[in-house]
Amino acid sequence: MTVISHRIPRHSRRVGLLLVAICFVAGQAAADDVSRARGLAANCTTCHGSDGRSVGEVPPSLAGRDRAELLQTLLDYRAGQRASMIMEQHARGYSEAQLALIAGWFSRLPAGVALAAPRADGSSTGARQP
Amino acid sequence: MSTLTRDGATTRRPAADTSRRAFIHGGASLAAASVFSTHAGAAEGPRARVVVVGGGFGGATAARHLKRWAPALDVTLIERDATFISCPLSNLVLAGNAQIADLTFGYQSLERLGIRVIRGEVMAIDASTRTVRLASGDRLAYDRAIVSPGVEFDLAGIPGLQAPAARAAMPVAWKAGPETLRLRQHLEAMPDGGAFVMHIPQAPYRCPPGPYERACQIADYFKREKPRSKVIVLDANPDVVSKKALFMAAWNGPYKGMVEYRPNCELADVDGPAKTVKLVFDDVPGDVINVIPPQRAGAVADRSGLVTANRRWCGIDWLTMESVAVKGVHVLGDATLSASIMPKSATMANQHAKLAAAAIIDLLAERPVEPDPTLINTCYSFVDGVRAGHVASVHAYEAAERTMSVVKGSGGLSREANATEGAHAWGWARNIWGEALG
Ligand SMILES: Cc1cc2nc3c(=O)[nH]c(=O)nc-3n(C[C@H](O)[C@H](O)[C@H](O)COP(=O)(O)OP(=O)(O)OC[C@H]3O[C@@H](n4cnc5c(N)ncnc54)[C@H](O)[C@@H]3O)c2cc1C
Repeated sequence: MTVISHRIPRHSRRVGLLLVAICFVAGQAAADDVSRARGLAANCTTCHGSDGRSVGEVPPSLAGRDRAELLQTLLDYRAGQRASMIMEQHARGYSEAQLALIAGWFSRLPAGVALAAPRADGSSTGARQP
Repeated sequence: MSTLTRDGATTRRPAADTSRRAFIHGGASLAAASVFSTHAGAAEGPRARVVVVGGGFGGATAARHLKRWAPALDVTLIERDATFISCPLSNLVLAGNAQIADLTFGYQSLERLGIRVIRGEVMAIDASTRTVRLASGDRLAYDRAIVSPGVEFDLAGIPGLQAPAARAAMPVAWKAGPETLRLRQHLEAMPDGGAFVMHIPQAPYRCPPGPYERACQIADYFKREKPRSKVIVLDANPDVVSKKALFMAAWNGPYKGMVEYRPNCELADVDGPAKTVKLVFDDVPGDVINVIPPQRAGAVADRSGLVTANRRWCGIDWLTMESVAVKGVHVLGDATLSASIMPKSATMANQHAKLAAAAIIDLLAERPVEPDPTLINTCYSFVDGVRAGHVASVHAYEAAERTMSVVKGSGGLSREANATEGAHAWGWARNIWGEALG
């Protein structure tokens, strides 16, 4: 009976371990990016709606939008090249890398029905314009 | 909303597994309160008990995001009131520009998410036994607790406002609800040619631009219905605390001659029967009186040992919102000792809530928390029934100072109040309500 590891040359075992380590570190970095992206995107959802789905027309929904288009819009706000009421003032508070994480996060969320708070009796207030 | 029965069960069980819940009655064994944070699958998140005290903008938002981001968590929300009534936009109710029903919501969606919602009054959090004690005598065990009790009024320096009859005659209306409607009734009953006199406490207080928005709203109502009437703003602060340019434009524009603004007005007391605000150097009579008292963290914070600054506010660690005084207890919203230029606003309470929810999930899963968090603020104020302006800021963590500070170059004011931002303000409101209760 042969022990499998004996058949693997020592140097390729080291390479294997290295690969495992790289994958672990990369995986950890990806996980960190995901939780960082969620945290940054949570800044936006106060106005744009949970998961980037707005109850009304304004502020607009962000979920499911094209990543590149979202990022370019944010970068334009940041550079003062796109007029806005408030978005330039917010975009200037973030680095390009942070804006890229935000755009990536919302682009991966499915567009869908926004979640509105219910009336006191539990009935829906969805998309109502008082 | 669940009500507790004597055996500690809830009359309406939410979807989540309630068998693990350690619900302890006064005198019962505390052994069941031991920590359990075994790991569920990555998607489900850690298994542990989080009890949230206060179902306002901070607490309800935190409970909802904890459950959505980590469904295996056992989340309980305790709130004294049956419904959620939004302070934001409640100044519009005073002017007849919105109805209180537009601002009143239920907790049903949170129950459907599997959060146990208990209507009750929390007496204190006992960190030594990791339990939350209710006025009913019941105790709830937690692994981590969140407190978002909002503010309470400090009436010590205003003897004339302490008696219930005085409060009925001079509703404060700085928590939206019955007092908002009573103040509206007083304004409706006031004859044309009368004066609305308000006093603003020294900052920090809940919603820095709120009192000036109120002055605009009441001026809007007077202009429409009682054009010979006046709004007199007595401010303890040396100047308009927030959005000065926007409010001055309204007072010198559409409301010219109607709004009188006086800075540096130190309050001595208020005389209800004489309808007079008593300043240290002056008496100011009026027809409708609205003294907004100084504020501090809701009483449960003090009873739980969380108040660390000026006997008013709760110091917290900005990476986790965890109290600097009591381990395992996180404080959100108005009750916190605000970082520099960080307002006590619904937007900020909402942002605190999500930062805390993410950090608590990481802590329970024994993972490092986000080392570089960011918070933003957006506050809209209406100058009439349609036009609003904003103040905005972005706040980033400063590791060296262990605090949040405004990112240079970020934020600012609207150039002028406008109808587009009036629509944005209603959109903001519907979405922030959804973040808490949707
Ligand atoms: C007139 C007015 C206008 C405003 N406008 C705006 C605006 O336009 N935009 C904005 O961003 N902010 C605005 N605000 C500010 C905003 O309302 C507060 O900043 C926000 O409510 C803070 O959230 P919180 O969770 O700290 O407190 P709250 O929202 O007050 O929630 C606290 C909750 O805890 C409950 N509670 C307290 N103690 C206990 C206890 N012991 N047991 C059980 N339950 C308890 C209370 O009943 C309450 O429901 C305004 C405020 C006012 C007064």
